[in-house]
Amino acid sequence: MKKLNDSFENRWKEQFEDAEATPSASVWDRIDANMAGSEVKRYKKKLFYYQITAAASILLALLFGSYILFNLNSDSNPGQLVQLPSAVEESESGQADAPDIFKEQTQNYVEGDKYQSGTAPRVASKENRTEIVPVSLTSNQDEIENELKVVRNYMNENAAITYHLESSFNVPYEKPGRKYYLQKKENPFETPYVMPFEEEDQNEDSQKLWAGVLVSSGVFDPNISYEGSPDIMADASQNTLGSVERINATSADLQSQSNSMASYKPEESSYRSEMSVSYGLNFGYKFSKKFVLFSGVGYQHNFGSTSVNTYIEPTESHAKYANHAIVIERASPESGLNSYNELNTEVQLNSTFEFITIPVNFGYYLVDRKFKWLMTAGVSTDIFVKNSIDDSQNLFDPIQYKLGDDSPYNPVYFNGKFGTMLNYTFLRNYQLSLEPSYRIGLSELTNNNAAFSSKPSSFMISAGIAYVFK
Amino acid sequence: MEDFKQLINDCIAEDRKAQKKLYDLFASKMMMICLRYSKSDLEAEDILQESFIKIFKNLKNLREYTNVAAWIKKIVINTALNYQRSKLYLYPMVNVEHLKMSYDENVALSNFHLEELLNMIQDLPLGCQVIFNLYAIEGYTHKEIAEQLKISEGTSKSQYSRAKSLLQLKLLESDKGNYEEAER
Repeated sequence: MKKLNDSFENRWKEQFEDAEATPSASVWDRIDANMAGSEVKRYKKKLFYYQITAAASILLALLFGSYILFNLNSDSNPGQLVQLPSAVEESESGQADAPDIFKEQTQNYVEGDKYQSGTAPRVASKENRTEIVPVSLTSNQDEIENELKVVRNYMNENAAITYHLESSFNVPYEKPGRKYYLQKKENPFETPYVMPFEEEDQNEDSQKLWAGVLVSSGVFDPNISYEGSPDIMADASQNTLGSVERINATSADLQSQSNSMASYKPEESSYRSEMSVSYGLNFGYKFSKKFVLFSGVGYQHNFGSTSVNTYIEPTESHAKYANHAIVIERASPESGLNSYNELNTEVQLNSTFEFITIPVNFGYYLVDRKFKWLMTAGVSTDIFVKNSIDDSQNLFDPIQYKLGDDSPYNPVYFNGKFGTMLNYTFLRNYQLSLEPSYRIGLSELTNNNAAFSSKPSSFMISAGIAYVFK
Repeated sequence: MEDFKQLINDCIAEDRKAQKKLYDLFASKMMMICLRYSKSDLEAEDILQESFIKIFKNLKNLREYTNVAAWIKKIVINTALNYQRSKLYLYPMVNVEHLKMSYDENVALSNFHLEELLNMIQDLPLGCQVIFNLYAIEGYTHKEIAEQLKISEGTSKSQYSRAKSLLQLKLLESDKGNYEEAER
């Protein structure tokens, strides 16, 4: 700094050192508006980030869901597309070899007409299905503009409030369900600049009804209990294949009966629950400030597996059936002739239960803001569609129980459900949801025909996107 | 001091009320600085607005609370220089011939209203005005001014002496251009 040796500079400096001049009020207003403007920019940036995250999560959930669905569906019939033509060829040529895995206990049976009869191991011709769940991920960038329009209209309708808004700043202005932060624009003749400040409790009119799609995955356990499964009869007197002797020798449960019928117990290895996937449409209706009713329709694929070491062959049909409690009703015709055989290794049986489910649930809002948190509970009616059982090596004839058949399953069973749900509303009209829930059977899935009983339970995590009608 | 610290922290947290309080504390003084560096109230207010937006945005980078006033003043002056810089480039400052005038330097400024003095400064050519402010009132050296404005030291000196001459002329031309006995 220079030395103040010149009184000219000093005198000017003295005059202006503590001098003040009051700026007009509009300066602060402009600063205020500018700062608010950068807040809007940040808000937009944040919003954009949330939108991207939300869209990505939904996409991931959908991809994961469909991957699981596709994978498990094709796993239950590995290689069937390749095997199908060869199986046909084999049956035509009549030279098909029995798969190694069959260690035939009855030599004369093998040399008999089994493979000459053109009924070489059949291959399930289950169709491959691709489900497409339509999901709208359209994002509306004009949300804020729409917000502004609504408030501007509101203000135009109410002169008193307009005056109040225009004459004061930093006054949070409340419209039912929403709080706005008001800023005046540079041009005093323009409508005050309004930005959404904070979303408050949505009132009933603003979010009453929504509808969307739902994808769930989790674990479905049919809770199969084998108690009381009946023995299967094999007619020893008419069995020319000699399998009964074998049974007598190996099975502890085996009982010889006076009329030379032998009975043996189906295997009861435990049922392992695997992935369960469901998808469907749902809607929610908020009928009071705190409660919401959910319903819809969904389709469930529930996968599971078990294993088997033995199989039976009804002599009339030349089919092969796993000797397991979950399939044995179909495998043993009432007065049929069965032969009983062992496998030299354990074979995995894959089972798929399919249901149409119609839930009716109630939700109670614990938090009802942009983020919502609900406790949910209700019942669902599950309509039995089918139960398919096959094995990964296509050794056995696939079994499929359907409605109306003489199936061991009831056409309908009921579930109780409770869970908790997180909802996030974005772009004003869209809502994401995530709901872990536990369902427990209220009635038996199986009927009196079954060699086992089942009262399923399941744990699922559902992800959904819905459009909110406002 | 603690209150002031709290105020600064609230401003950093973007508390609008705190920002308004800080603005109210400094706005009048800073407005006068802006006026010295501009030709009109409108220009000055533009500079003031821009300065405070910068202040609020950069407050979080401030390490010490002791010298906030000096820091704010520095930002206002820098903003003013940036604001005028484009115009300075339009009318590049060159060495001007020194007006050989030998007026008595001891003109009593206290006889003038502050507004009159301000008008005199504002009436100076822009280059002279800026350099006069920086040299006489802010107390920068010609070297510092030359670096700041990216001009030569000689230019700064000649612009200043022109400013000085023009101001002395204005003071004398004015009715109140009396000599003050006490200072003689």
